[in-house]
Amino acid sequence: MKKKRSHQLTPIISVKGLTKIYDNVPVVNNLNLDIYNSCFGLLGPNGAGKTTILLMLLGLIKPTKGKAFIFGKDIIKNSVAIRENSGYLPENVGFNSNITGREHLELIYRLRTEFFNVKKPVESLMKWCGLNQKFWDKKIKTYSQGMRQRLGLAIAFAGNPKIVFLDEPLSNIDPIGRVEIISKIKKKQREGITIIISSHIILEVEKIIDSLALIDNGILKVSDNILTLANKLGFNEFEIFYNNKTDNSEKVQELDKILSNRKDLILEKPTLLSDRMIIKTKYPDEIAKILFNFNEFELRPISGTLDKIYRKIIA
Amino acid sequence: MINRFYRNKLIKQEFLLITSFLKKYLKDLRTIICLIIIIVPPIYTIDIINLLFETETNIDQIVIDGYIYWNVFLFFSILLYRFFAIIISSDIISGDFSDRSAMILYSSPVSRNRIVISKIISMVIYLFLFQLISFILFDIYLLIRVGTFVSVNIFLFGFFLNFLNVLFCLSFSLMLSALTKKTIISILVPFFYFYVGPQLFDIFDFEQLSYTYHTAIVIEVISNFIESGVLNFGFEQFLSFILMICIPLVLIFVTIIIFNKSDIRV
Repeated sequence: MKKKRSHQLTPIISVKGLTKIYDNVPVVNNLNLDIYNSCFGLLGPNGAGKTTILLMLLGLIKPTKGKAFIFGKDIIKNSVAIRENSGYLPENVGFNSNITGREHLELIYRLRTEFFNVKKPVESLMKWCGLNQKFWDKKIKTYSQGMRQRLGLAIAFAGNPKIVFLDEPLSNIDPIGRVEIISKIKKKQREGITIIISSHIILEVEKIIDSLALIDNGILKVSDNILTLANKLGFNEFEIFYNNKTDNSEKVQELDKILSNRKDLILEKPTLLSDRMIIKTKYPDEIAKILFNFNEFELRPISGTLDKIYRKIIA
Repeated sequence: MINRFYRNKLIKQEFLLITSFLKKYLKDLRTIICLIIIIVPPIYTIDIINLLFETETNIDQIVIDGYIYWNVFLFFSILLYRFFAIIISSDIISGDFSDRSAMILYSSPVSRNRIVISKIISMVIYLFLFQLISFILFDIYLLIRVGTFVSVNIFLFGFFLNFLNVLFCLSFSLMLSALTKKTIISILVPFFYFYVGPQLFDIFDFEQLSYTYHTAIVIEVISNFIESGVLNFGFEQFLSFILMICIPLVLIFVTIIIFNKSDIRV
């Protein structure tokens, strides 16, 4: 949340009137959107046009109308240059099953970077994505769907891209694996990579994204920061997550004291839990400003809010 | 400096893609089938040579060039290599869509044209190597059995003619594979064109549309040249020869242009 604000001046992705028509049916209809350095969620029901938007941004599908720019570059004229700095995990990712996971990852890594010796970074990526070491040198046809998804994730982040498009990244992953993948994606975002997630699994995505666009029938319903949107729609319960890896009890106490004294901002006294603090406020943006001084704390709408927002807007 | 750097990068990427595609084709099960196919013409020719030894006492260079090589070996090579080239190149593009690997491949930082060109180059290298092995095996056997090679110019022209047929099959299959993204179509249509098409074209007086027709004209010219020493290369023969070279190139060019404009989606 804090990072987003500091980079908010120029959008990384700027979409202007983007339209895609198939057989006289607009799949994406006059989309206007600005995406800043953040973890951005492209949400909507099946067939809403999310994948089409991602594919247009990557230059794989040509828009019928409209323009879009990534890092200031036109997606039609400079698609190769854009892809040099972009990673992509397609929905239901597929591979040539006769080659090994390592060979596949090495090829993409080498195409994205100038390095020839990619053994070490490739191995660390395979470790990072949680791919069992026994399978690194096995043909992809022996991989389960979940393993393919993890390999696809490693490929998306190969070669240090500046922006990564993830289309349904949590599908085919078991519930424990989902939590692990979410935290890994979050970490990558903190390292400065802009992440665009397309999904309809709202409850899971809620834990990662900090801005979103809701799409239905190819039409943009709403696009905003998740805090602002929750606030606009009358949801005033929020959670402040602590970083559990370090002892920050003093900081938690300090924050509690600050917030308890700001009766103008909060509606009730904060509830302290072991891993988070629950607050009620009508001014999440002001709370976020206070959190600038608490680096490892993160403000989010209370779990389940995004689902309510989704239902309210889409239904 | 920047241009040089950029050029080196492009060459490196091209090399990477070609080697990776080549590896993929070599690991494919169809390679084993094709290895069996390519030894059929030399084996068949061995039988013919043995038969010749039983009936003829004098096997001279004209018999070797004109009959054993040109009429027997080359005839079977062209027939089988068409089959071979169609089978191998039928999923050159459509395969990426059937196994869904297209999305990762085409989202890599390489232009679509360069990916398709790398696929074509690696396929041409692959087919060339197989043909080379088959032709060299034949010539070595000839040396052992008869004590001489096929005349170099005749050997090379035959090799070239066979390879033009292979290139045509490759380009035809590639075009169907890229445009329909369906492997079954890029196998069946070329098969129909080669093995049923000539008869149909003949019935309706459209022989000019048949690649086999043009190949037959060029083969006949060279056959007569070997037997009589006279090269009868008129306008019709010249046109057939030019068409044999140009059609594969035109098909490849058209495929690249159309595929570049199409949407990549599985």
